[in-house]
Amino acid sequence: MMAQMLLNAAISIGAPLAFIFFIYTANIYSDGKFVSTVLTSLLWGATGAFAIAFVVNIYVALPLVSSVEVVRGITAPITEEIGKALFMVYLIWQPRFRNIVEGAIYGFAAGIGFAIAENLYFTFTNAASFTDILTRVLSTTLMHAAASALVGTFLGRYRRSEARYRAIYPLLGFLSAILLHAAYNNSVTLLGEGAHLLAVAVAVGALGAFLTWRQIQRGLQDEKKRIDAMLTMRGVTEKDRRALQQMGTDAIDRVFEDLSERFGKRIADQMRRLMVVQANIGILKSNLNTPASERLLTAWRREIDALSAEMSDLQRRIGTLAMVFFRGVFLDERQALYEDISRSLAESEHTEVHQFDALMLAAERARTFEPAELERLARMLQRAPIFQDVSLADLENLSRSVREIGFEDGQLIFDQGDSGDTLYMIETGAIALYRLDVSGTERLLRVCQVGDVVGELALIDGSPRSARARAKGSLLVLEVQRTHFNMFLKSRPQVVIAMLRFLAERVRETTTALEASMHWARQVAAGNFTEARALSMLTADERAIAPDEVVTTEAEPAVSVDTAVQLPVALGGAFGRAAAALERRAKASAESSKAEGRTSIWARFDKDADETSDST
Amino acid sequence: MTQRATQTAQSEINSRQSVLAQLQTARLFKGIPPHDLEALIDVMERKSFAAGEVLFRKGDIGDSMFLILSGKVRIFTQDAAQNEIDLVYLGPPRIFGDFVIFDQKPRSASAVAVMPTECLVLSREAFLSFLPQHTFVGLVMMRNIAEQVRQVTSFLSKVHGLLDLIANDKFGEALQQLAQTTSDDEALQALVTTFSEMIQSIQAREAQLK
Repeated sequence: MMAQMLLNAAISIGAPLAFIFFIYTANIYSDGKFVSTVLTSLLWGATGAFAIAFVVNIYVALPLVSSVEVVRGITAPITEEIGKALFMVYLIWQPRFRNIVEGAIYGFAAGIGFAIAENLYFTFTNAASFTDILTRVLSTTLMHAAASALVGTFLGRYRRSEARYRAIYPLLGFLSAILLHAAYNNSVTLLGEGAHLLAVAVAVGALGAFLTWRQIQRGLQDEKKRIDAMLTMRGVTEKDRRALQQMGTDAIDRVFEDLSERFGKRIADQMRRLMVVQANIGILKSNLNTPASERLLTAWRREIDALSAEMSDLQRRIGTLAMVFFRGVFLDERQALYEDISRSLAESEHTEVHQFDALMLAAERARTFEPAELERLARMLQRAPIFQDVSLADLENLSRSVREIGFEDGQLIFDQGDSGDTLYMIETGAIALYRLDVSGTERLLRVCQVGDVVGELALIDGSPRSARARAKGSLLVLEVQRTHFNMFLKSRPQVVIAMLRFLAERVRETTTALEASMHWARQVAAGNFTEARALSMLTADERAIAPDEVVTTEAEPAVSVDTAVQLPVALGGAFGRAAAALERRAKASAESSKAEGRTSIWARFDKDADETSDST
Repeated sequence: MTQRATQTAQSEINSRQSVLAQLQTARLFKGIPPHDLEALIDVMERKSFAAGEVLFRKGDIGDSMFLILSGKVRIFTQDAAQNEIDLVYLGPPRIFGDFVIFDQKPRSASAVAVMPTECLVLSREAFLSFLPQHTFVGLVMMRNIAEQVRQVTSFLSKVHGLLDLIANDKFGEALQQLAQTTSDDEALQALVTTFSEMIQSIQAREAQLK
């Protein structure tokens, strides 16, 4: 007898707990909220809610109506549903309440908790067979969980809704839950205990689950409308819209601020990344249908694989609860919001979406890219110092935006002071660079030959041109536009790293040149002219100094003619010349002091200074 | 106990804020939104060094950037005879060794803590895993370095002009240009000073000969 009772008690507790364990393993919460919400709801259902229902049913309702059937069929469903909902109301009005699905989960847990207490009470007050207890435990657990989940869902909908008549939701919630509860209780009175109750409970549970699911769908539709309005700024006055645009807040940033407030920054960041990853997988899959070399196709496939792996990892880390919300709001069959979001994401400066590829897919409709031609362009680009660390596959991809342009002899390519927004690589012919003096006359700086690159830094920072460029002879150049290149970089960290390496190398070179200048000045000051002249060997690359060298063979790396890139090299020659001049001067000064004694060298310096000040 | 926990949490927030402020003043990180900088701080590692402890040696393959939070670091190099030559002493909030996270070049000098020193270290590995989700940070860094390259380059082109003037015996013009050149940058200003000193010493020498 005692053993039987203990077994029954174990079933009363064990079966419902299995449901809760299911929630736990479903990874609904990816953070620590499981204990503080789901378990406290369960605890409330088992203690507070049960105590309230017990007192009201036995000491208030029963003396008033003096009929067990009436209490069981009418008043008990009302008190029990309200009792279970009390703690839910508290949880749902917490600031960290996230979405309607959570309401359903709290209700589910509270219902299960209540069923545990009720069945334990029954086990210790009634002797019943093992099968009767098992049916009873399973069916009442199902009924209580379904009814409370319905209340939680409706309360959650009320909490998140902005509709004018939203007060209807809690009323509907309680009404439908009480009706379900009463239907089950009355069928117990009518049909008596037994296995058939399980069928009734399953029917009640299924109806409850269906209604809950419908409410969740509707609630997610509400959220979708809200986010859609945020993105498209519908329902925002013209004044507010301008204010927001002036603040520089992107619509997409506001959406993610909203998600951060509800799901926490970590999950919101992961959702943002998930959207980027999904958008990129879509773009890359479309890429696969365009003509491209096997190398480029392989690179795209590899990237799709890596992104797919990242996507499943993100889904796991975001957790089921937030993913239900995410799928329902952002990824449902009505694609409009998803497209709005993807577009806003791509337009935002803070993005990793393959915007460049999307643009090229659009351009593809107007012209086709020949894989062999792309490879030819990529191989040429790779000879430029700025692109030497960029993979051939990436350069083939970038080459889809590269244009080949011809210029006639003497034609202006860009003017001094123009905003620098393009890189040019010479395919055939030459470019003459001129500096304009104050009067506006051109002074030839240098001539760039086949394979040379003009405007590398401009491609990176878009700074104004420091010289005027004209075609020398018939000229053919490859043109890389900054707008395209920037778009390309945004979603390609490996290319960003290559650029950072290129720039770091430039900084090292200028630092070396700076240190060499210091050293030169010190040696000259100390009169060590031989040492100072040796600095003309500062750089190994003598080609850049030779002003009119023409030969550039196919295999050799291209030479950059960006002033920033070639200057440290040019400095080497200047050191040698200046040191030699100073040495001559020192000797002359020594001799003249011997020969003339009184003629001051510095009188000549002063004369020079006077002449220059007159002329300026 | 709760109070202590709150205090710890509070002091952590304070130190995060000050680290954020320190990073914002560094040339490489200028213009990066605080939200992204905080994410970068999350992947950085706090390391303590005892007085005399070596951070890295000249010739080591570099893989981390250091931000000094407290203490002092001596940067030095060695000549052929293994004598140590001090280059500079660095204190908070200086950043050093920054470019190695891009290209893993060998260290051009050695670094040793001269007193108990605390640093925030960004490894190349951490930066590489951070970048894919924050490419924007990389773009800002690119612009910052490009600006630095342009600044030093335009200065070097002045030096170039100066050398040409000296080579062509136009000392007066050279002097005049030098007098007009100043820079906010320590290294660049040091070069101006050295050039002025050079000319003064030539003047002195030639005056002596006279």
